[in-house]
Amino acid sequence: MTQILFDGIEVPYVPQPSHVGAFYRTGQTWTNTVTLSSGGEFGGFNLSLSNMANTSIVPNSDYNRKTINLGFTQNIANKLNVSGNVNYSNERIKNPPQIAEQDMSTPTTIYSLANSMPLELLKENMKDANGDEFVYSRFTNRTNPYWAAYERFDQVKRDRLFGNITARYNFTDWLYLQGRIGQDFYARDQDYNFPTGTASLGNAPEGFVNGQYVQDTRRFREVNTDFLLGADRSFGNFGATLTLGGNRMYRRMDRDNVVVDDFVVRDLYTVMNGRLKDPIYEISERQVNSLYGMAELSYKEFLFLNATARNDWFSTLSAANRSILYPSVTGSFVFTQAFENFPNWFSFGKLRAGYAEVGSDTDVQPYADNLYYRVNNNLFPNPDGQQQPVGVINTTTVPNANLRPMRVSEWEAGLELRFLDRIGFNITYYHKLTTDQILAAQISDASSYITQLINVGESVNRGVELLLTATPVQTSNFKWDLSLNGSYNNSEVLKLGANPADTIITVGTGQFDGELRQVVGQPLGQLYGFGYLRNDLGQQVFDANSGRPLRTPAQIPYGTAIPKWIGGITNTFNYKGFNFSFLVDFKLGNKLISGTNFNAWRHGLHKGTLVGREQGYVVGNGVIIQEEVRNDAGEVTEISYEPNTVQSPLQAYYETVRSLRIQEEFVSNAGFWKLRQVTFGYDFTGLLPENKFIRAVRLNAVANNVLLLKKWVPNIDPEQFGFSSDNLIGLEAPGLPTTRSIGFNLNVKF
Amino acid sequence: MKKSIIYFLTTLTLLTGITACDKGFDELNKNPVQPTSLNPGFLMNYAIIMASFPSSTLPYELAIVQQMVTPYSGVLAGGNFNQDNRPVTLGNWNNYYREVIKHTTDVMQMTMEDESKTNLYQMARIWYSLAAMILTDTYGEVPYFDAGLGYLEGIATPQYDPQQQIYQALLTVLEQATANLDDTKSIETGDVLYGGDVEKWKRFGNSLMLRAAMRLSKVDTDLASEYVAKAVAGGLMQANADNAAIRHDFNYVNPVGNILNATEANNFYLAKPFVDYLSSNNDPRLASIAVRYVGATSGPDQNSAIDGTPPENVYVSTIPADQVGMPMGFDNATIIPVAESQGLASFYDYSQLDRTRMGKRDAPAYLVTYAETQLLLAEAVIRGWVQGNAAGLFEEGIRADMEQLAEYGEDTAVPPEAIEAYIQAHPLNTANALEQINNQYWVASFLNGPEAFANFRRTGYPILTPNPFPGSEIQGDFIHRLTYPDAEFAVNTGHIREAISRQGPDNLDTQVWWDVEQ
Repeated sequence: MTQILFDGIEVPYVPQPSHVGAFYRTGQTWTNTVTLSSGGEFGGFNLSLSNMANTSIVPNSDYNRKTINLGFTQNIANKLNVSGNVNYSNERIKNPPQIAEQDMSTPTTIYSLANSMPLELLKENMKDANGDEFVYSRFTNRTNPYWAAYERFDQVKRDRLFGNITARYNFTDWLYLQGRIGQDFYARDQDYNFPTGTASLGNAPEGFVNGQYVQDTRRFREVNTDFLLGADRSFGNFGATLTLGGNRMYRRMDRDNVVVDDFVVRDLYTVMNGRLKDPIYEISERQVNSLYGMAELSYKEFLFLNATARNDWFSTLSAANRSILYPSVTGSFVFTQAFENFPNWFSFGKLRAGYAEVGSDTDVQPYADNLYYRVNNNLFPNPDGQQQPVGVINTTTVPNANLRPMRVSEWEAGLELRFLDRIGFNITYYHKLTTDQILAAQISDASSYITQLINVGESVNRGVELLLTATPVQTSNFKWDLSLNGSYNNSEVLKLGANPADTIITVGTGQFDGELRQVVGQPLGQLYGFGYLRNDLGQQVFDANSGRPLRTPAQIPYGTAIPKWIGGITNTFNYKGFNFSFLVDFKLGNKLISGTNFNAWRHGLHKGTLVGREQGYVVGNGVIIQEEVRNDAGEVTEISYEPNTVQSPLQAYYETVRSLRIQEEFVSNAGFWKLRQVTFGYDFTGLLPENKFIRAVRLNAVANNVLLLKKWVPNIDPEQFGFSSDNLIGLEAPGLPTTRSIGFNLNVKF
Repeated sequence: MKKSIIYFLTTLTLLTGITACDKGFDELNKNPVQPTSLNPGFLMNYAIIMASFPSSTLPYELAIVQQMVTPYSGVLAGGNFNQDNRPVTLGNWNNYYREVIKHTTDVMQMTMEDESKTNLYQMARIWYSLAAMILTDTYGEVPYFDAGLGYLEGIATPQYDPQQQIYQALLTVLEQATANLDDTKSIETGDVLYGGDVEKWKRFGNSLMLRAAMRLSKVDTDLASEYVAKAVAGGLMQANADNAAIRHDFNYVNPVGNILNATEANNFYLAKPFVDYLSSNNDPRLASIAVRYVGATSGPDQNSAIDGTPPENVYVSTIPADQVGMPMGFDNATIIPVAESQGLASFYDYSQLDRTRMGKRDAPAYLVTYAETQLLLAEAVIRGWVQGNAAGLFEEGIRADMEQLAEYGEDTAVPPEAIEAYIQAHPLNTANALEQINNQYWVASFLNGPEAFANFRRTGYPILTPNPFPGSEIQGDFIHRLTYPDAEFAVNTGHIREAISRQGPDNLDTQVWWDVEQ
């Protein structure tokens, strides 16, 4: 059997088993670091140079970063010490992979390509006679991946300089004053195109070619200025430390962005060559001022009490709400120290308990308290042909001038034990209450806005964190270390809006449907979506005319997207100069809605869509509605069903998941067990001649993401997420395939 | 020691003083590059431009009235298969609430109390009514009285209003707004619709009121005839120069033209009932509307024909006799043998709306026209609600629509002699006047999906054969409304449930208040 592709190329109709393997390549990363350091009586310095070169698994995409770090400390006078560090990095990204979108996203196309399409034909026939993208599919948003990789360009350059200088003056041996100023600055230039001739683009006016070019320039600056006054004294068995301080954090981002559409000269992607120009200049400024104090008291090295108070002022909030004071108290008791009669094998024991509050405005953007307008760059003519301004409300989010800072208050208690200096045990229980979380909740479009910035009620997180370390075997040549960490977290939404009737808010909708909501009484991050309609007997109900699946009357819950269980087990073995270790980790107890499987389903690429393939139709396993009995008010009081015998055409049947946005088929347990890391190394230092130029040599081999031991979601890695925005947790969209990496690390000391 | 403590305290006081807690924060949190107020006229211009029909009208309204159709499913499924495609049915909802209602509401708020902006206030009210009418005609019960107030009044989940109340309010608002337009007050010359011409705004508002009144012809003839009379008394559109049109350019493109030249360039075709109606009546408009890439076997064949480099055996024809409409009821697999049986090279060989002429990206979009107004008036005369010469109005409606085609460009202009010949050949006869008038209305409102769909439901004309697609989801013969956005079930649950309990299930079959069987 043959198929005809690209207007007349006849090729065998055979499966192409590995589109992913054929399109993507093996990526590589080289990192070289040289560190120089010296120290003396009055100070020291440390200089480090590093170069990292990476080629992505996506063809024509790579990344380079060069960094220089310089640190120094110097005693200027008897009581004055000055220290500081300067870090510079230069980054260049060529064609960062585009993912999780429709256009230009190679995984979206690769995962939804017909599995009879030979990739080399896509490559060879990428362009038509005019040099435009060959329209190979009726769905032109699925860009030919080779067009996306080679015709589109995207260049990012970033120079970043950050560092700080600290001066500390010791008045006496127990009292000091310290001042510090630090700045983080970067300049980032990016430009990218949407190439002329891309199939999904509209035509340009006469005399121009289509296409788009974007130039984006950002300058970022964050300045932190702080001071600290500290006193530390002992009075017999008592010790006291008192610290007072203040900080001012100022952050500013400037952004120039110009989008141009259509060009005079083809393939010249510049702003000057463009026809329609849409420049934007944005500023974002915020500041947080803080004053804080801390007191620490100790008794005989076994009883400790620590108390803090902090006041923050946030520039993004209104005068009435911007100041917030929050305390913390922690205490600990090293009981093995306190009592003399502990057996020798009981090496260490500590009990601790604490309470802390924190406030923040990080989820509030500057200027979110007011409605702003924008005048469009391009005018529109009135009937006399005079160009007129066009203005818009510059937001789809209802601003909120009365936002309060988010607050978190947390109780914590822990026990830390060590036996024989070989076995360690550390357990913590916590109870964290979050109030007034700030988020953009979805509202009715009929309000003319899409979201509304609000303080969201209350939620609680309770959990246990556990760390177990042990050295089961230890001889002079051999050592086996075992480390096990695990955590269990259970969250619950207690309250949402001010109104008790507000029991659900929607915080995000996935690129390929599915919603993330917060629901009172449920764990945080509930996934919702339409399900298949079923009758009271649990039989699936199909449309009596078309035979296609029907959906539930409203979106239904599928569970939380946030894992309950997270942990890992590391085993490390040392034998003479060899070391070998491996880490197995897991995340369990959460769900996801897979956009990749959704696309595979509606395009007939999912194994589940083979049902009916031979016959050309599907008869859904279930019932259809025979009759509905209605009362006078028109309400349905009784429904009778009969077995479904309607033959539904294949394509329409499987596409129902898109047209009716049915998500049930694509909900999976998102848990996994992975062999995350294996390292193997040898220390050659023992083999080196003594007193030579080279002091130490060590070689390590590291393999990351080695094996997926267990997962539940079909066809994708549960960590293979297109993006990881907080309001889209659990809503998977096609990301790059996850990769296994193998690395070698050579460490030489001179 | 004592000295140290004094030093300590002095320093502390000093530093605390410097930090000064929140000095300058009010100033810092004001956006220095964006205004917090703007000339409402600029916002009005935006609301006007954004009222152009969204591209979702192609898969739904234009397919329901059988003027254009696609054989494709997925995102394009809709009226072609009589299927509920939720990501698409929300097209009108999102466009009109998020853009038009939003900005006209803001304009009304800014101008309501401002004597110097009284004309702008009335213009915004009329424009808001236009959007609200499209919304309620599409979905039935929709938020009207509480809509658009997410910011101004904090109404995040507005309640739905029965369509009868919405229509009553629309008629009242239109009556007041047109009456209060005043050419002795400040004129909004920057207005992109009419340059602020008060007389033209009055004629437009009255013509919209006529449309709203006629919509009630099956449910409330008293109210309908009362407001038809008021609209006529107030003064209707008098020429094509009075048309309410968005004159798109390449900076603000026509959404329908845009999609027909971009992602869906090769996917929409003129439907057979529309082509057959035009060609069987020797309608000269077919030459302005249609194009056929004769012999085309693929999308690239069509595209290279437009670029002037067609493959061998492919050529471009706009000759009416060459045009072949795509029959209703087929998908991209089942249409293939049908095309073959008609002697076509492939289904790419069917006629399309010419995307280089009426379907171009910068094509004007007509919201209310003189031609439509004349035809509605002709119907009102037939119904005996106003005095007039129905035949003359009918004739003038046809003439106006044909003349209007010249506004797309020279290559769509209909020659005057062709217009007169058509009019001579198609006089109004009283036996089937309503059908004749509304068939012409169907042609005159081509590309105005919401209006063509509403008028088809109201009058039952043109008489169309139900779309025979085998996978149809509807119980009745035709789609009667579009379904609500899924987001409403998530965030406005209580109110949408109330609406559904009053109106009927949220499907494509439920009939809106003014759409009753007669």
